[in-house]
Amino acid sequence: MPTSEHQPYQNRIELLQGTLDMLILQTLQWGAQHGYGIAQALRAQSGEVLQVETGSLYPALHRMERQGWILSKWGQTEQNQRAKYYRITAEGKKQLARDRSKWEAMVAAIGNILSPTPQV
Amino acid sequence: MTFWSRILRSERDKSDLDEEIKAHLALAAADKRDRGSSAEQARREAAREFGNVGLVKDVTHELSGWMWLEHLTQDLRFAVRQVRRTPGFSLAVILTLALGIGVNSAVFSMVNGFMLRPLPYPDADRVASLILHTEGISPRTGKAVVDDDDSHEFETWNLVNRDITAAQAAAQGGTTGVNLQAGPEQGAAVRYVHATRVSAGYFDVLGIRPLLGRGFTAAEDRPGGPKAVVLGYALWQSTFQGDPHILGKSITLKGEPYVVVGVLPKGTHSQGNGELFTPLVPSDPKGECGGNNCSILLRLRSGASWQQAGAEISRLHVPQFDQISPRGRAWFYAQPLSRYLASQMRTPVLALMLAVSFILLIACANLAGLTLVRIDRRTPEIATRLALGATRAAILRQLWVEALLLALIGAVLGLVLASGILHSVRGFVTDEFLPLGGPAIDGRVLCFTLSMSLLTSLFFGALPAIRARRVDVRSSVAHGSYGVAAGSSRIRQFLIAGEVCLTVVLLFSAGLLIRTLVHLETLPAGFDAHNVMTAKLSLDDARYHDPAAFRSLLNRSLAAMRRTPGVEDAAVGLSVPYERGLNNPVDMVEGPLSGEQASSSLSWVTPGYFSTLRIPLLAGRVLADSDFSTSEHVAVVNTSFGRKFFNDPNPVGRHVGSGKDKITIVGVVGNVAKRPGVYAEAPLSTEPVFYIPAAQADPQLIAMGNLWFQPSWIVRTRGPIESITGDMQKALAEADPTLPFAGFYGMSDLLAESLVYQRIEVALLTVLAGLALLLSAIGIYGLVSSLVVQRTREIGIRIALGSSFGDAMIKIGASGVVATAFGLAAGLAGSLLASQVLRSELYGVREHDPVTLVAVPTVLAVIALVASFLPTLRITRIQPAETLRME
Repeated sequence: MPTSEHQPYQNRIELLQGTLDMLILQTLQWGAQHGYGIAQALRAQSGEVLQVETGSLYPALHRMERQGWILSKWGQTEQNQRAKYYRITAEGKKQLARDRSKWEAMVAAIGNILSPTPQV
Repeated sequence: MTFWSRILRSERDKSDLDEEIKAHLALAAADKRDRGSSAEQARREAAREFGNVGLVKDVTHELSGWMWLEHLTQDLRFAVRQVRRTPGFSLAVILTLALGIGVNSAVFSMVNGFMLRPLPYPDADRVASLILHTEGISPRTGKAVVDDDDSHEFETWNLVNRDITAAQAAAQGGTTGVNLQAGPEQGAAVRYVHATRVSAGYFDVLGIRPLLGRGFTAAEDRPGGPKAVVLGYALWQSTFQGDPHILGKSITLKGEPYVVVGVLPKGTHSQGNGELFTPLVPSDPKGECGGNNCSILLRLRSGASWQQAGAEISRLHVPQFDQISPRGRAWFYAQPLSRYLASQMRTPVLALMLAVSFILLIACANLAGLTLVRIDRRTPEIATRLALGATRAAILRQLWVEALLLALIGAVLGLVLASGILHSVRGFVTDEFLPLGGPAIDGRVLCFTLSMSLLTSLFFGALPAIRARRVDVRSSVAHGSYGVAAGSSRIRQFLIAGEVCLTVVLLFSAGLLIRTLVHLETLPAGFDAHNVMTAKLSLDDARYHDPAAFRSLLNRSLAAMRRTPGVEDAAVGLSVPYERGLNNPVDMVEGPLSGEQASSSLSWVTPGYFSTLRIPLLAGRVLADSDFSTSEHVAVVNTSFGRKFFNDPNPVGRHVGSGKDKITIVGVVGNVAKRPGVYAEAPLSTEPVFYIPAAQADPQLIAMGNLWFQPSWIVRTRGPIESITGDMQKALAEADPTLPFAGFYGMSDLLAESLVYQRIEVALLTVLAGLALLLSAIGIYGLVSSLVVQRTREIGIRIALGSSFGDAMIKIGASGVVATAFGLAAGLAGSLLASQVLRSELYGVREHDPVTLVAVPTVLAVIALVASFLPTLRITRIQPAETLRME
């Protein structure tokens, strides 16, 4: 996209950051996974709605690793392809719980605003 | 974590990320193959889905915080490519900067040597120089005078030794040439060496520890004490072959035996630059320190502070204050030695620094102009990079890194140039104008050079970079043409005006100094300088303190010289024209100033002095062979003397007193140009001179004169003077074969020597002004010729429409002329300021010297016209039809 107005790529990461971290941690709950696997899982589980850009995924993974929420280790896939597997840590699990409760509070709050009549 | 281990980790993370992305692509492609795509299709689709690999890497990696370093290396690599792609531009920039930075570094190393670098003595901040401050009304002129004097008299030296307890004191007399006969045996060769006279404790005060032996003791430093000598390292090595057992040996110095008591270590710097040292031996009234002629150094004793020492110093009694100034004030103070040594050269060196900073500014203005043109040419490239997603900050950084790379290369070459300049400066400038230990490129100078290159890169790299911010991507990419902006040539004209302004200031200053030098060199000499050769000889020699021996030496050597074929006349004098004379006041016993002292310069001369030099006799008679030591004491004076002290140009028959003697003035001769000894008003002047016959000089005067001066043997020849030197030495040998002449000087050499400071000034400033002029001419030429290139199409169209070549040339060339005119106007205003600063350096020339005021604009106008219209000649080769077809 040729443009004279520069839009830093990072903005999109910022935009998704809170939720992307949570989604990645949630995916890793089921076991260690590599970057491609995480992207595929998110796509499949969202019913092909969520497309995670690699330009957001990898920065997020590397950042979370530095924050100590996930660990990485090189391993082999079933097709014998070397890949870097990410695994959630205890700290990551706590973070996931925090993100989740925050997210649920937000969904409830937004829901209240969008449909003000209380449902019985 | 250290810097390097962080970088290493960052590198490892990067290859890890590469692997990870490769794995991602492989997994995605494998998936697609499983769903039935061909291998090639799968690979392509995986890559498409992944997106921009480089960008993902960058974004991921940027988190690690080491991107700036990578950007810098990337920029640097790109900059190297740019530099190599445009060798002409790069070379022009590098050479210009090398020149600008080189002269600045060279001059800065002088500033460093004089003002910043610690003196080459241990704890140099504990060493100070004693200064006498006087202020009041001058009894001579009636004007207010303020003076800070570092020369002290005998009584002060005694008071300092008695009253100052917080600091150790030492005194230094002058440095003069003396005769050294190495070894006590008779046949050994006699050498003329420079000896400095210093007091006991001198080396302790400076913190110099002798390599062998010791400095002088108090017993050696008093009249009649044992004769001792301390050798400098170089002399010990050369003349005494570094003899380790030299201590206690006797050498023949000044015609008598001296015992070597010490040898100084290698690399010792002393203010007098003496090759050897003898005790000061202060004595009153006509010995060392007798006539306000020794400087006093103080070193704080351990545990003492400058407050304590300062209090003692300010309480020092000022001797003979009544004579200094009847209604004034006077006190002593201590000035740090570094400041004292720098005080003479401070102003000229800082002025020189200012002048060379002009050169660098002018160079930068040229480079900024050059870079502006290049940025305009690179507009498409910059626009493309912006379009491809580069940030403006990244482009600015890139342009700056390019400038920095060129500036750093320029700085390295500049350092080479600077060391070359310093090398040649040491060759043609005498030590008195150089800092102690010489100028050198040290860490401080390197820091200065580095910051200069950083600054210049900002100046000539940042200005164009600001322009690059204005590149309009859409229009530049769409038209693919050079974004030739009128604005850039406007900025360049402004730059040219600025550099012309600085050039005018330098030209004007150089002009005033040249006019001063011409004035001084063409002053009426007052004698016939052609075919005169002089030779100096040290008579500071125990054998010639006796007047009879002294007279016999003069008579026999002169008789031998007169017998030499080709010699017309010969004489000896304590000083010759263009040199300063011995300050020796005489007592006025009659006339309007009766009872006062007449401050004049004294010279003993042989009777043939005036005829040999052809100094005209104006009244009375010259000195004659009949003026014996026993006959009536007589003198000849110059016209200045008569005017000044008798208010009468013809004081023949009047009397003055000298000690117990009464002297009759028997003749008046014309003034000759001399370096002033009494009133330092100009480099050359015609101050009062009092000539007495050598035969009537008393032993004290002979000893004192010969201690501070080397008399000159003067020969007038019929032919060229150069061939006479051998004959002069031979003639001298007839009188005394052990005396060597120290050097032979024609009158033009002596004139040059007396104006050495002015010559250095003129040489430096003329070179700098010429450099500035050259750079400005290049700047103007560059501006106009790039305008010709940029506007070829427009000119072609104009000419096709009926305009003449001449009109086009004037229109384009005018841009250079207009810029120059503005610069000239501003520069003349600046010159008026500069001339105020230079005022103290000007003699015989007014600050608003009309000749300089006309000459500078004329020279500049000619250069500017040539530089402006030379490049427009290319316009005549423009083919209108072709430029139209290019559309």
